[in-house]
Amino acid sequence: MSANDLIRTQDLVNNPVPRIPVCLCLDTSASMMGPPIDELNQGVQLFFNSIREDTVASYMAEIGIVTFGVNVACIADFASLKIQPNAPLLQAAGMTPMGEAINLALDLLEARKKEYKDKGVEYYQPWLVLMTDGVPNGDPLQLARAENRLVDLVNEKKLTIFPIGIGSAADMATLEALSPRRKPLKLQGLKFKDFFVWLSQSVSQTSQSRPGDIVPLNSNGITSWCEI
Amino acid sequence: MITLEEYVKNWRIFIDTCSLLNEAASQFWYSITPLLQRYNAKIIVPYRCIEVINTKSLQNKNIELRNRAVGVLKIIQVLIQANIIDIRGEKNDKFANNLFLDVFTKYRMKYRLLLITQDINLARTILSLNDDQSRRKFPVQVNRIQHDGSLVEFKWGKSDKNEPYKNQDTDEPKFKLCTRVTRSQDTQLSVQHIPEEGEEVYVNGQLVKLVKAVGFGGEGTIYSTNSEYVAKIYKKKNNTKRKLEKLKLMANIKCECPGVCYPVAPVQNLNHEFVGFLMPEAKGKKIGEVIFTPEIGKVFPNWTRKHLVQLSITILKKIQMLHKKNIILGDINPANILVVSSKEVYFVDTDSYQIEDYPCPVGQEIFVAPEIQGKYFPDFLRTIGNENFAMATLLFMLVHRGQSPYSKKGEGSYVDKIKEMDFAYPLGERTNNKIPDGPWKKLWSHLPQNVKEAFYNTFRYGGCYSTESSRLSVEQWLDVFNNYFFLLNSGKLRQQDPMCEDLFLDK
Repeated sequence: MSANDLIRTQDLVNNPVPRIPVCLCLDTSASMMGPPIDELNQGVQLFFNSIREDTVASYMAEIGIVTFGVNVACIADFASLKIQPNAPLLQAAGMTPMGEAINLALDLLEARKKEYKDKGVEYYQPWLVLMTDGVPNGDPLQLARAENRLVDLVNEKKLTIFPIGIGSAADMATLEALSPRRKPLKLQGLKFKDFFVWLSQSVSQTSQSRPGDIVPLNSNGITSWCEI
Repeated sequence: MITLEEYVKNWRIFIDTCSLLNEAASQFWYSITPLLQRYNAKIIVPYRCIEVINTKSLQNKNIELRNRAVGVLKIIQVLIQANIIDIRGEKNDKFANNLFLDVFTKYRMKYRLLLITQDINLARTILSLNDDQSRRKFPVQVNRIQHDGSLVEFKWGKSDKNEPYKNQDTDEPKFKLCTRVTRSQDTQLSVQHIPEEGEEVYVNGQLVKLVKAVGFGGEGTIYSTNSEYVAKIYKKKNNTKRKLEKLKLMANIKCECPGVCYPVAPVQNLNHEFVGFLMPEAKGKKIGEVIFTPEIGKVFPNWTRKHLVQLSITILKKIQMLHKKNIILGDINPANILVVSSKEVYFVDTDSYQIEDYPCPVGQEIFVAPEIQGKYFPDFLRTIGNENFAMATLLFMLVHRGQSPYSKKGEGSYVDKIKEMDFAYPLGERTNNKIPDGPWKKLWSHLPQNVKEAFYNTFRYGGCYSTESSRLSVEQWLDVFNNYFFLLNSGKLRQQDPMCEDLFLDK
């Protein structure tokens, strides 16, 4: 085991707080270049910072990030903020292979859940935040597979998905197909920061409960970032 | 009143079986030991008493008594080795009661004599020696151990010497015990205005000012006031008929338990509509934040397991006071208990307590007993057995700095694990590969055997304390934890197990 793996494992098993894995699956295609990617970067960093301000949430949340653009990549694997304190910098370029990205995100979530179970760590069912400003243009088979997986997981209550469209070109119909229980929401302008503050508040709210408790989603404040 | 120090210095002290077996005996030893050492004095225990306790430790009829007796014998061993007690007498002595009478009759010419007993009849017998007030004899004293471990004289009413001694605890007003939920509906009351910071409200007809918002919760906001109390002002939807009736009932029976932020009086807005209640202010941080997370190492860097055991005792004593009043807390959870130190805690969200036929409408699933899992909280009354499960879960988490009793490797939700009662931690030679990775297995293994037995039998399916009616009560847990604290504090446990105090066995 490498030193890094050892640190990750220690971080996982020495903390008795139930975990909530939050995967940010983010569109970093070329169309995000300029102000959108800058705002998104600031928003993600703000998300990290806001979670850290809440002691229990900071021991509970494990943030992972998958981006899709030039390629599909996991740029941050699930870990606590103690060992992964800062958000990696996102760069915009390339296409919109969304299906591939979702599949990778779900694979990583599955792997993390398996780790929790193997080590006896309590966890909440994961959250997947999906953000895009365009139309998916990767392999259609991959997208179809992603859709099937998402629909099954959501219906079995094993995943909560937050599909967010950015700008007028976002393919809201595809986002809707990916999310059987929750309508996709459209970001007001580039209010990424408002969204991520809201998201961290939702994590904090969850930290007031324990796995299994039904956590009402934080409907307050949703209008601060959501276009109606 | 004679102080403990004077007794130790100038008196010969005897102790009876029932006081040795008393739940607060550990605390009594804890406070008297340094004095005995300072004055090189000893407490005399008749051999006969040890024999009686020994018999109780070998019987199987009453498991609870057996465990207590086993614990007491261990303590007696430590006390003998520390030269704190002296066993006098022999096997064929009379019953201890007659023995005390003989000894006290004979030696009261020579010494000042004190008997510690919980037995009112024995106390009366011994004290009747004082009727003979000849100058050549010292008056004898009889004390009992109180629930906090201190001594108090037996007293009878002055008007009637035969008036039996009454335990003060049982004289306090109590709530009724109910089995059926109130018919009063949980309907929202009409409220025209929810008062805010800087506004005034009515409390028992008097105006009180909401000075500053100091806390925000799901149900409402807490304000400091220009009185000694703080006010909780509910959101509109939480001002219900049930809530108001319950708060009035609570305010009628006082609960002067320090650290329990118990409602003092309902609060009305200027239209005389119910909007909240007044209560003592809480201090500290949530247990769920500073004890049940790795934050404990930063917030309390010097803490060892001894502090966690002491914290458990502090919490148990408050629960005990509430249970004595027939209050069921219901929603025991780590966000409702605030900690300042291992000896100072605050219970908050007391308006959710189950009072008579008003249910506790909330609960966190991991603290919910298997027999009531999935039930809708506002629709039923919890039993003391249900409560004892929540209390045992909290205690397990306290000594394992946040790890919950049923967390284990493998599939299944926590609720399923509670229902299965497949407790992963072993007793004796049993092995189990399901304990979560990390320091938990070691933390468990360094608990004393009788503490392990108490948890094991509570959480393991088929264990002798595993059902609603057989779970350990707050008094029984106090016994277990007082013993544990005594063993840690006397250094006895450390002699056998140098790692018994470690909290971070993760290296």
